[in-house]
Amino acid sequence: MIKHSIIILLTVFLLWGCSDSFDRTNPVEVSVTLALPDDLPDAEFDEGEIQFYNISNGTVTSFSAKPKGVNKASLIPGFYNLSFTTEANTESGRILTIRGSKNGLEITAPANIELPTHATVETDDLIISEIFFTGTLQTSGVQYNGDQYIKLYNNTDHVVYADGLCIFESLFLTTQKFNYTPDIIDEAVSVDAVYAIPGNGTDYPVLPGEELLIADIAIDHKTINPNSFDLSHADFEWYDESSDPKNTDIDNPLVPNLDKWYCYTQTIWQLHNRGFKAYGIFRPQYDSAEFLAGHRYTCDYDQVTIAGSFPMQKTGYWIENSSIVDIVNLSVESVYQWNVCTPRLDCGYAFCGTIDGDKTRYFRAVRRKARLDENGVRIMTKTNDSGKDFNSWVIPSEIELQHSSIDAAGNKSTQQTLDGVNMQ
Amino acid sequence: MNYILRILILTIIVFPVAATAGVLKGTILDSSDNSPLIACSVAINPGNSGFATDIDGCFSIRLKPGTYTLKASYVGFDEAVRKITIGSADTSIVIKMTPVQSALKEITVTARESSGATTSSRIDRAAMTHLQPSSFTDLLELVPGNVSQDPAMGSVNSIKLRETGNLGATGESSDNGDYAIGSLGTLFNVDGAPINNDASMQSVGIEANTGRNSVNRGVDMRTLSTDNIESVEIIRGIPSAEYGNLSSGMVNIRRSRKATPFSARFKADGFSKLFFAGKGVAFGQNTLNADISWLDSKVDPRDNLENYKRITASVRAALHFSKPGLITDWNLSGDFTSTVDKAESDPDLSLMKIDSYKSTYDRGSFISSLNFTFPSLKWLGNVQLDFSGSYGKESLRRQRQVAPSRASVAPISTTEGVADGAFLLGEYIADYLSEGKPLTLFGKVKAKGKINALGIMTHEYLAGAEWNMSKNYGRGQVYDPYRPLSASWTSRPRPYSDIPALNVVGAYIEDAMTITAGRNSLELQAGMHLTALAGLDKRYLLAGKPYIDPRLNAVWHFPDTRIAGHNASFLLAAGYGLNTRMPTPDYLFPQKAYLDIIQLNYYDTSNPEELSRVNLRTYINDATNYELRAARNAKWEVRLGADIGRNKFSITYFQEKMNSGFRYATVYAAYDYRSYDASGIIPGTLTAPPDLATLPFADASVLRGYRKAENGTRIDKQGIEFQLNTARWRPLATALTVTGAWFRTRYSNSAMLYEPVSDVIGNTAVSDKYVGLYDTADGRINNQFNTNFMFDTQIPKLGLVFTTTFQCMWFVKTRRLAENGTPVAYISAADGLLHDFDAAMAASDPMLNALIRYYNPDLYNNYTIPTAVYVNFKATKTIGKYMRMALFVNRILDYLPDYTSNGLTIRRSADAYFGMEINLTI
Repeated sequence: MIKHSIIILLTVFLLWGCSDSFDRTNPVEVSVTLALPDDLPDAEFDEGEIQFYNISNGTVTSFSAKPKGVNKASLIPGFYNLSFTTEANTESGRILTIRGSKNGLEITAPANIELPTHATVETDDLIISEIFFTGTLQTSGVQYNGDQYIKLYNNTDHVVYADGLCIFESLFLTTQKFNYTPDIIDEAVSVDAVYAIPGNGTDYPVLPGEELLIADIAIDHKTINPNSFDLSHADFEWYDESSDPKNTDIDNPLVPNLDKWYCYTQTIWQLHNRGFKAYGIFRPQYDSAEFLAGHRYTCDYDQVTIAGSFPMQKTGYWIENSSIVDIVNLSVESVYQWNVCTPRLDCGYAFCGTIDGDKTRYFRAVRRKARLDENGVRIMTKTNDSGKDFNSWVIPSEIELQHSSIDAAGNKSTQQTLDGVNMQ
Repeated sequence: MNYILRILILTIIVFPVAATAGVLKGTILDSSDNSPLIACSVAINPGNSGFATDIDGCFSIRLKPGTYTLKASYVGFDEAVRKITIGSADTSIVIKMTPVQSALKEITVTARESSGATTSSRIDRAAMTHLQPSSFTDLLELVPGNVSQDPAMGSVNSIKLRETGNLGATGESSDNGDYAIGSLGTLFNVDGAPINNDASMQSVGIEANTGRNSVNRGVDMRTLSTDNIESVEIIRGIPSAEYGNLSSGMVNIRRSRKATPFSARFKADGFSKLFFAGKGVAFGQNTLNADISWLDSKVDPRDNLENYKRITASVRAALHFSKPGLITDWNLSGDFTSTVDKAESDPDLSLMKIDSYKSTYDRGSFISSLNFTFPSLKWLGNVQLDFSGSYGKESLRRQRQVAPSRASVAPISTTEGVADGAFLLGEYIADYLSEGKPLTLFGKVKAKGKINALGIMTHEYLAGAEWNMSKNYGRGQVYDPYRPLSASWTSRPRPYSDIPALNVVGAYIEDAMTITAGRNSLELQAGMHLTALAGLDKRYLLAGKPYIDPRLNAVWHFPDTRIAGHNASFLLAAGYGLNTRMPTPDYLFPQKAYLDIIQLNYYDTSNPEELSRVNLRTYINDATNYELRAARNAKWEVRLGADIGRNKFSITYFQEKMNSGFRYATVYAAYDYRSYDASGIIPGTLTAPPDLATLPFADASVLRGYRKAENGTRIDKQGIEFQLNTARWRPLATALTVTGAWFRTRYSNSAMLYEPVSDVIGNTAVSDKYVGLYDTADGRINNQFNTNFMFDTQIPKLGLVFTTTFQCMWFVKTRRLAENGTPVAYISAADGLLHDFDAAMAASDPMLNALIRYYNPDLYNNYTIPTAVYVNFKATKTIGKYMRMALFVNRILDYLPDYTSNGLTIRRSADAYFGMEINLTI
């Protein structure tokens, strides 16, 4: 009897608890004012597009937007990602992509939103054309990840010297956004690994349309894993020298090693094989000693998980945004939370797989979209939106070139593409 | 008009009665103690009137003269029928009712708090039956400070006495070998013989399968079946000086040695099935008991791949010989326990097709306890000779598919010096076996006597000596070093049979004195226990070093008084004692530390199998800490006890301090090696692996660490324990037991710590060059406060006992101790020496600067889990002559309010755990 009463009481409470404190269905009006970039006073801005992406249900509300003045939209209350894109014509005749974005806006009542915008950064340097971070599978189905690589491409019309260019890995995960304090994202990218291309300034020229292959281990991986491929022709490898047999890396004496500036781990540096980090390149105006002495970054944050909220700290280094040449955020849809850099540098993400630990991600890479110009040279897309600039979850170029395995069963790749999608 | 009518009617009705009736006044009492029976139902015929007694057990009724039959009935009592003749005068009657004898008698379903010199909880067979345990672990629910727990059969069950246990950041309990001394230091005695697991070394080497590692953790309570236990005494306070080699408390298990009918028990719950059968027979004054039990449990009922099985068999005899001047009691027992702990991964779900763990444990033991009583001797009461032993076969098999994600190096050399290692180039199946064959022997002699002195004083004294040996004859860790369990394995196989035997010897003397002074009496138990290791190599500090533990317990019994009509007695007790636990063979005789440093790591890209070469310099360090001392715990406590009528109350405040608990700590030193430069080799040009003599090299040194046992653990315990047992409240046949405790436990290190950092700057790992020594605290301070309210209702007439327990964990608090991230000194690879750390100098050297560890100050905030209330229900019902059924539901109701932690609302939920059982007694 008591139990019955409790159940009835509970039911009443539960039903009560279900009543809504505000109406979720009636749209509310929001106004968006665009704050155009200060550094382009004379540019002409085209009419662009404002997009509201509803995070909870995936619906997209988009409309054309006036660059100046107020743009109004009527939205169902919820959480939104707001973005704006347009083009600007400068006096010099250059066409720039102008973007602005704000993620995770909670819209429950009429609101005025000011959206800062910025012109995308123009790069006159090498760019990242491919990241193979997922690794392959052994014939037994167990993962193998010694064959990770990154490719850099000269998308300019002149020779670029790779000497001194540094590869980095972001300190933060794109799948965990916490209240990192101090927040330096508008000024710098925080990193946990930095490796530099050696050379005295002119040792490693890269011709327009040429590519550099930077491998973890530059060996023929087929000798260890028949499903893998040959990377002994790599231009560089990152070698983590250690005298401890617990952390042994392999060095191919024929392939130059990157100069290690810093790494967070004394085991081996591997790319995050579920793709939760951002990778990038930067051209420092300083040497490693100066970097190590002056760029230490320590932050506090609360790690909020299902189990609770835990005070934590992280330590790494920072790289000022102005030195960043290219950065590619990697993530997967089911756990994506944020981009670990300012949207000015990258406002989207590339991916392999759609869920955390996706077993279909192996043997796949992210490759920058390309087309051939009239001379047969690849022109790569670079608008600082990795989601749009990259073909995600595609067969890596090395697997295509070597016709090696595309799955654990050993089925071979037969396709040959420019960027994983476009046929040659 | 109305008023007049009423008076008229009243007059008509009342007057005739009043004129002729007498008043019957009755009191109904319990014949056993003359206490009034409240709300006892009384029926009087003819007249068919029925009513209940008042709070004093009294009633009164007006009756016409005549003869009546009075029938009094009360739950749990035989019905009382009286013939009464009522005249015109008042009649008084006293009826004494007799408690029902035929059905179950009232039983104790809780732990009873001792009123003797030592603070302890005693749990009897009846309480165990009602609790429906699967293993000894479940009994601890009845000890103050504990609440019911779901069985955790997939991990070692270690005992915790008077402590919160190691907690994680969110207050969840977590296993930490650094604080294993808590359970290691708790002695388990079965029929007077200790359970000695010191020589058990079953673990998976460096790949610690943490929850399943029982090394240095004392008794795994999963292995103990409860069904043949007659009573358990859990000593939380200062044990008698008779017991040595313990630092915390002790558990005294006494098994059944009497004629019992054949009984069988079947239990099933969400995790396990249990079967037990046993019988005891008597031959004159001798008895023989035999029983078997079987338990099959799963960690998760949906998962068939992870389970724990236990089989026990026991035969026990008690022989009694008597002749004038000498009574001989000889208790003998033979036991066998076999357990299988198994876990494997599902090949359909896991990438690892083979990933299995199987640990079996078979142990045979015998106990002989010979006791001579001399009734006619004045100074010597009795002499006891105990001898026991056990031999076990333990096997831990770990099989695993290993797929190195790159070519890894397996160091294989078992001698010091330079040698080539092997490359692990492809996938393989690792097969690891740890085989232990522990033998333990125990002997003890004890003499007891009693004298009266001066008429007011009695002395009960005892003295004796004991010897406890453990030795492992197993083949130890057996595996192929070319096929290690993981690609970063650097250990080597080791036979356990090489490890010397450990002999712990002890001697003790104690006097328990009782002084009666008027109506006060004082019990004073004073003694000391000497513990030492015999036959230990002279290099050890412990060799020939005796530890003397003084132990003192005193109880003052105040004169009996009366409070509110009840007899009342009070006692005040206090105790102080030192307790010493000797290290285990694992701590004393650790495996040699193999440190392998790569001198050349050449992987030939053209022909890796034939032409690659890895060359290592191997250092073998004796990881023995010859300075290791015993772990010592100083305890003191005060206790207040009160008995008022049938209500009992006791409250204890205690403090325990230990600074010398065992843990493994890493020590660092610099090691020289030759670093060969293979970058000049052009792959494809070699016809044989590279020759070291032809390669350029540089001599270098690097820091390496290895684990060494040390007395580096500090555990401070503090708390209040209380227990209240009320008298049974007759109308509901219910008694209330309130138990609870507040514990505050500090777990930390007592020595400075080397802590390597993981940063790599340039091509050099910081920890290869510098390792900081930190004067820091790595532990936590935990607080918890709980109270259990158990209502036990017993209706002997119906053969029904049921208990409803409100288990209230008022709070659990944990706080990490503040760390100091700046080292006081650092060891440098360049010279292998410790240097003072200078923060100013470090600022200019990124390598040194990396030694400064940063901690978020919010880490040291308190984490508090607020009140959690669970309601558990248990019932036992006797059905017919042979059968008893029991069921339990833990957490049938719960109250788990949401709480906020660091800005986040935490919701909690609980699942019920339930089961039932049938007991047959034929």
